[in-house]
Amino acid sequence: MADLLKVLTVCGAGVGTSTLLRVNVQETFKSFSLPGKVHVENTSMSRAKGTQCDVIITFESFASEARSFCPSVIVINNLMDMKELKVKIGTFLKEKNLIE
Amino acid sequence: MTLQDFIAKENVVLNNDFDNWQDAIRFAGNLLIRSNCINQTYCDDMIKAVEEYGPYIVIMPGIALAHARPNGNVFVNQIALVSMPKGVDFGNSQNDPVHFLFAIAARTDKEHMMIFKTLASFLSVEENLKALQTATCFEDIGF
Repeated sequence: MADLLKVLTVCGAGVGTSTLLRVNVQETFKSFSLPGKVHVENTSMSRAKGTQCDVIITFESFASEARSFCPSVIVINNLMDMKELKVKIGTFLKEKNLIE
Repeated sequence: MTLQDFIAKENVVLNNDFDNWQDAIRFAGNLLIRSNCINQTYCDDMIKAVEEYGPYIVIMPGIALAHARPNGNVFVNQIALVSMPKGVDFGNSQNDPVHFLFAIAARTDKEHMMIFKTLASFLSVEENLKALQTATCFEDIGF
């Protein structure tokens, strides 16, 4: 079955910070009852440019660059704040009509 | 796996203030150089990463995780910690000033991720953050 959404978490090198973000983002998507599978991958900004995705989740430092090639960009301020993730991902899912 | 495995007492310096973020990273990097965990290139790379990619390493209010790609410049997996009571601005509009700077060195990408995750679970516990804020010595932190 095809993925419902493909999500990229992006940082500079694509190894440390974006991995942490991926773990917390995966957990957040699981907390919504979605009608399909959400695939989350962490990567670097340079690799993200050549990767097809529905939304990029990243930090302020990378936001404008991400917006230049991806229409949906979520900017996270506090990586450890699950409430911020839940609110921002929830807003995105509502825009996509995937939740009420 | 706990943080104790990667944080030696000699690499934790509490209550030391700096004029700018570069000096703070350099100091944390020097701790790791002195304990033979990294070389000078890795220390310089941690600063370059912020210059190149911006202050996203300030992952939450008051806390920065300096790091770089290993590129053969890391010899021992290790974290240095510097606490700065006055705080240092990294240019992160949401999470400045930084009071706790962790400099993370890992030999491979895989180990890098593992250390990051271990540190992140420590930082996700409110009591641990309180212990960091009130610590007057290494033992107070309870890694």
